Amino acid sequence: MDDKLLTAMADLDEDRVLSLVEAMIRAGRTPLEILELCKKGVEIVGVKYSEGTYYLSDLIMSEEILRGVMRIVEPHIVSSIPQHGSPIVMGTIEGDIHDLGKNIVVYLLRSYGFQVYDLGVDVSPQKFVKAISDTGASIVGISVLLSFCVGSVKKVVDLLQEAGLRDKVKVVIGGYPVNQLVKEYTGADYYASDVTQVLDIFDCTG
Amino acid sequence: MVRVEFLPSGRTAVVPSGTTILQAAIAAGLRVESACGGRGTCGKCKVKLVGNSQVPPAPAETKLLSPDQLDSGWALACLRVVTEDTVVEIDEQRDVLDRKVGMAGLLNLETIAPSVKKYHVVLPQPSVEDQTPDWERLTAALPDPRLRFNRTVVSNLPGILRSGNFVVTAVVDGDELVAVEPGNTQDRSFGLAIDIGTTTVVAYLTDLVTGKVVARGAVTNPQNVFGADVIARITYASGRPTKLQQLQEKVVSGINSVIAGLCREAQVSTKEIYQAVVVGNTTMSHLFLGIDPTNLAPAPFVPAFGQMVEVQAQELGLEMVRSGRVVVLPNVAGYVGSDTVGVMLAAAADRLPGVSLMVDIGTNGEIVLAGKGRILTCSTAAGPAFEGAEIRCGMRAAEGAIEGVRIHDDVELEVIGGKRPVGICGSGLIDAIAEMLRTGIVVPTGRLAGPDAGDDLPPLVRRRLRKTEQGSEFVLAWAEDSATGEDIVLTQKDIRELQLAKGAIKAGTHVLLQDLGVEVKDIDRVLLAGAFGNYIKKESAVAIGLLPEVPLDTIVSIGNAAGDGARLALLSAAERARAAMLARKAEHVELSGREEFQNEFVNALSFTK
Ligand code: B12
Repeated sequence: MDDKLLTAMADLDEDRVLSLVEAMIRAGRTPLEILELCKKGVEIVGVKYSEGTYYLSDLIMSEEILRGVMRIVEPHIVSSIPQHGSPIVMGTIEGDIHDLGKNIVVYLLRSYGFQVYDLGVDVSPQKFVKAISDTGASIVGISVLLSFCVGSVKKVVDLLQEAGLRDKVKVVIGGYPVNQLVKEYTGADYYASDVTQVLDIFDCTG
Repeated sequence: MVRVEFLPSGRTAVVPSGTTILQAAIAAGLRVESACGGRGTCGKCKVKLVGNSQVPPAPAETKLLSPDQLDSGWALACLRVVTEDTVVEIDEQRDVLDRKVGMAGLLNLETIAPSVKKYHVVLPQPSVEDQTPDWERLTAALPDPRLRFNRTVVSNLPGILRSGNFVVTAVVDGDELVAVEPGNTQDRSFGLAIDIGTTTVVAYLTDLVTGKVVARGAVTNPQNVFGADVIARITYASGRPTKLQQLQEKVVSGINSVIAGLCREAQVSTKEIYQAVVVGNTTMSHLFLGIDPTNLAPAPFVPAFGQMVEVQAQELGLEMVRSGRVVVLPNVAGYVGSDTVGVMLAAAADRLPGVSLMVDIGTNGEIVLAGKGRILTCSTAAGPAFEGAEIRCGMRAAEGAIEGVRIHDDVELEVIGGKRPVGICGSGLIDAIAEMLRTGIVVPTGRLAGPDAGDDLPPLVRRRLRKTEQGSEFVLAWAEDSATGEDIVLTQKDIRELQLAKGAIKAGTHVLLQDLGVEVKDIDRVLLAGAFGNYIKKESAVAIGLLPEVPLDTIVSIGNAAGDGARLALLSAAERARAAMLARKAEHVELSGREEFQNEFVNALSFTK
């Protein structure tokens, strides 16, 4: 049954996933075990997305399925689900309104078990810094699609420095104009241009 | 397969034997008038075959065409089929008319009423009894004596009046005396319509007496050395006044080089150009006027100005009459510029019956939806995929670009210039993907079939699918057939890039339709503005979902409508006032603030209709 659920999830077969999950609950499996399997399925989806086999709509489909799974298992959850590492703060930089890429990263991180504070779009450097110090996040993810706004990303890093938080938090950036040069210019620690890299980075930093 | 070439444009289509000429013309991206929709009853789609046709005329053709006409090669495009390589002449007149479609007959002579007026006056000679100063003497003789004092004109007025022996022609634009010329020069008056694109600047030298374009020319926008897209230009100019000035001077120098060429060609002096009407995207309008564009780049994308602007040519350094007016049409929003206002004007967006969709397919993808007495606009950041950028073997639509693709037993290519292919341009990309979808090489989610997958594909086509380290790809032209000596391929990533671009335009269209409360089936016409619209194959654009699924004959390319709009505003003061009205009336829909956009966008990415 476990393998079947994993494959159904990776194949984005919604009906099958949901009926398997229901059967497993009836068979007395714990929500935790089920979610763990689904997470592995989503991981495969992420890999297929990076390879180009799956596309955005597929990722969103997987999000939809996962939500269905949650609806089934939630009433059965007794103990809280353990969170993965320390919290992550994410947002799209000031002046930029593109949020699709950021939403995908947030979704993948969440389904992977990370606790993510999503600040939304057009987030000022000050707001990033405040959120980091308020939540005690050790990673901040910044999405930037407009090359014009790269300067504001650098400002986040500078403000973190000023606030004495720079050593406590890893800065990860991503988006259309982002490359090694932009990483160096902004003073960020890591950059990613596709989702498998994203998970790798967050995994070893988190 | 047979090859059909259309004259005078020289465009060709390769189609299965038995296809009608009309279908072949559509495949070649040409528009043939066919009022009855191909039923063979209206006789409007008359074309002329060059050389002898093996196919006898259909019964309906013999009814609508005389035996003489049939003998000399005339045929009805909707009925006559081609069974061999054929050359067809399409009525040139009709081609010209087509390009003006949407201009609603505005360019007829009665409506030519530019704001520039020439008055031939014979002034009383000064004498000891009449010591009236030159300026007052001249203005008193003009219909509206309350003209603003113009230092530039008056600076050499004394000499001009006397050299003309007080018989002169005064050039007036609104309340401004623009120039004074000795003698009677009323029959010579010229103006410029200029469309400043991020990549290309187009100018039309127009005779203000006859309304005709006497010369047209284009130049690459010289600002491109500072970056290809508007964001790069804004970044360059931002916060640095000298750089802003540099960009301003660059574009003016480009325009001046075009003006010089146009004047040479049409034997016109720059001193006979009294007015220029300029359109461009909002960033280009700002940079042309030397106005700080900084706040256009980040949200909330606020322009420094929106209204119509009039300045003297000498302020900007444009090579024309120094006091002549340069009019920049109004913009609607940060990413819906005066070029879109020009499109609305040329298409008469406020007077079209029913529901009309206007799309300018380019990096910024402006969309206008007119209907129910409203005009909605938005811009979708399609990106440069349609211009061949970000595409592995992409290139601009120049010689050597693949512009058409057919897939049957093997892949057949149409290449601009007819030689070996160098790469693929935007319209070729759309065509290629439409064919790959039709044949199952690409599935509706956009995934390219693997070499193992395409079981039902003809072997020669299947051989072209392969997997590399970077992912799957499809070989359009093998190295031995290409001009580069390398395989020309379409990669999975290229397809994804195109999906983003077309998804943005499709989603933008849907949001506008929703806001107007109409559906795709309610659309009466789709007008394609911009050069791209001329080349794109409509059925391919519809097949990939870039354009809504409407009957193909309701999709019409209206050419450089932005430039046509500038010309209208140049030739008619009333049209110019209408441009101001259209800009005010247009409701801008900001997609980035819209909840539904994201859903629409994701749905619009796949190739399902
Ligand atoms: C969709 C889109 C929009 C939508 C945004 C909808 C939304 N809610 O996000 C709309 C239409 C609103 C929009 C607006 C604008 N856009 Co836009 N837009 C795009 C487009 C077509 C796709 C972006 C996208 O969603 N991609 C899909 C996602 C999944 O990919 P992604 O964002 O790259 O994210 C992935 C990775 O980068 C990475 N990642 C992303 N963030 C992060 C963060 C971290 C921490 C990590 C680790 C990884 C990571 O992981 C993601 C998953 O794979 C791009 C073109 C393109 N080809 O990219 C232009 C583009 C980004 N836009 C652009 C521009 C300029 C604009 C505008 C400012 C102007 C305009 N109209 O052109 C306007 C805003 C003003 C207006 N009124 O329209 C330009 C930017 C150019 C530049 N030099 O900066 C682009 C590149 C198009 C272009 N070439 O002209 N746009």
